[in-house]
Amino acid sequence: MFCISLIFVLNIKVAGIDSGVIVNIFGNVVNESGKTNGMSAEKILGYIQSGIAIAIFFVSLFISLFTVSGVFPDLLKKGSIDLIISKPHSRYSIFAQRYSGALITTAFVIFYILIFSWVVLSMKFDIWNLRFLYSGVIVLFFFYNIFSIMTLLSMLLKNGVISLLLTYFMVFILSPIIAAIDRFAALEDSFYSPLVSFLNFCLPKISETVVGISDFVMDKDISLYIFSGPILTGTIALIVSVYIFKRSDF
Amino acid sequence: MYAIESRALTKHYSGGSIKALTGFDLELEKGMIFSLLGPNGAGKTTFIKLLLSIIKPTSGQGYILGNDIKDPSARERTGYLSENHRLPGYLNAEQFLYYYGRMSGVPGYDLRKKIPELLKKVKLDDKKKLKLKKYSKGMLQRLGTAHALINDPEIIFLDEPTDGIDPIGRIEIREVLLELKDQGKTIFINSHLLSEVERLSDQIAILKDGKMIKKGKTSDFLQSTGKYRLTVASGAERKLFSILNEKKIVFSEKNNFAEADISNSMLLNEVIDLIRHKNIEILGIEELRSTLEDFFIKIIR
Repeated sequence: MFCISLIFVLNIKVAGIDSGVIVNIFGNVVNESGKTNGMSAEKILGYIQSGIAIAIFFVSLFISLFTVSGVFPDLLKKGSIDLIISKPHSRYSIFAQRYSGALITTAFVIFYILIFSWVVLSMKFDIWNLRFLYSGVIVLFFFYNIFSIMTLLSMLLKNGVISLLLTYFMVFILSPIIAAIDRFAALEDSFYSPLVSFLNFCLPKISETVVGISDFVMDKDISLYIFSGPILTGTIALIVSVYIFKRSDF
Repeated sequence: MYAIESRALTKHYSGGSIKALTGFDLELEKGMIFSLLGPNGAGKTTFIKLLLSIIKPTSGQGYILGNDIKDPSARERTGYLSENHRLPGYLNAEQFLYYYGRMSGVPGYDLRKKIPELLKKVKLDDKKKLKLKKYSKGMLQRLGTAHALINDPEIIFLDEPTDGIDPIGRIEIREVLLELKDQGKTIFINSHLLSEVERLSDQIAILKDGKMIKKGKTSDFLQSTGKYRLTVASGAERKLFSILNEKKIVFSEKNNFAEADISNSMLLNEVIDLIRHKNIEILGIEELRSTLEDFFIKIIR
């Protein structure tokens, strides 16, 4: 439905003229290259694509977390886990199947929309910006970090709803607050300053990631710092989750 | 090679303060029905969970068909019905059996043939399209039994298999189990229903506080009490009682029968001769044997 409506909603017309291109969105001419100092078609496409990539980032993150929040708590429920563990599979394999299943589902949601919008926009503009397509990997990496943390919470709390709410809180509330405190050095002289910096390094950085996605789509350089901490946190959370699952009695 | 073998299998929790199972040794031959009895918390479910690696042993070893229980391949030829299983309510019986059958390594084309047979066996073939959330407890238990058989296992672990099932359903489950035994399967049962266990089992073990306190053939648990119930025609009771008094036999009086302590068959024959000599009609002579329930209560208390 999203993809079909995208064709109509975008309603973009890109026409070539002698001295440049005319870009018409929703019936309004937003660019007449050669006549004004307007943006190039690449730049307009970049803005549209980064807007879509950011929307996909938020929507897929929110929906995917909600959808996969039950993957591990449901598995760990008494009476359910017995049936699965009694099958001839190692615990590593059971964990990997569940985890990768959630990741693949999310990847499908992200790339399904991304590929379709990329094809429509690229055909309209006749500019094939692969970076827009690759931005899905950033979204997926971000999801990997968050999902790993949510998996750890699920392993510890064995409750899908509480794990989901804590994850939402961490991503959408705590992370921006910590980032703001750290950025404005509000606790510069405080005893807590190193802790805030450490948390800011570890926690998924939602605002920086949004900027990073936009910059990446617009062909600008992005800092790997925004990913290194969260990837480390996500990987540690994943390893601890596997360890708990491997060692637990059910 | 034993079907099931455990050597000093132990499971303690909280650093040893809770002893769920201690030094459990068992060697179980193939092709028999074995029942593990014990009060709640005795360690029956713990033992099955240890064998299936659902929980990890504190110490000791376990083997299923010669394979170490730590190795997932040990579970390839096992089926399991857990005590409080939670089946996914959004699936129907066919989908559930297909999903778990695939997890057990059964190819899809085999399952398409096997699932209808199993559903017929547990009398759920007319409910195969119904979502599991609409199943009654008894239906779920029967489906759980079908699930335990989906991979044609050599060893079947059943934890309270007749729990929540009505008497007719119990008889049907019993028939299924006896049929499986005839096919050479080994069946391991945990149950509280001692009369069921008594009817089905070849061997029994009793657990108390995580330790095995007795193991043996079912017949070892059903010993003679040394008592006979002598039933005579109505109106002849007085004559029967006087014969027993005459022979100095201790007995308890009932309506038209007596339960008498007759320790040997010679004495029994003498009593029968006397009864017949006095032209008393004998309606029945029954040797009184202790039931498994009697034995269980005596040993547990």
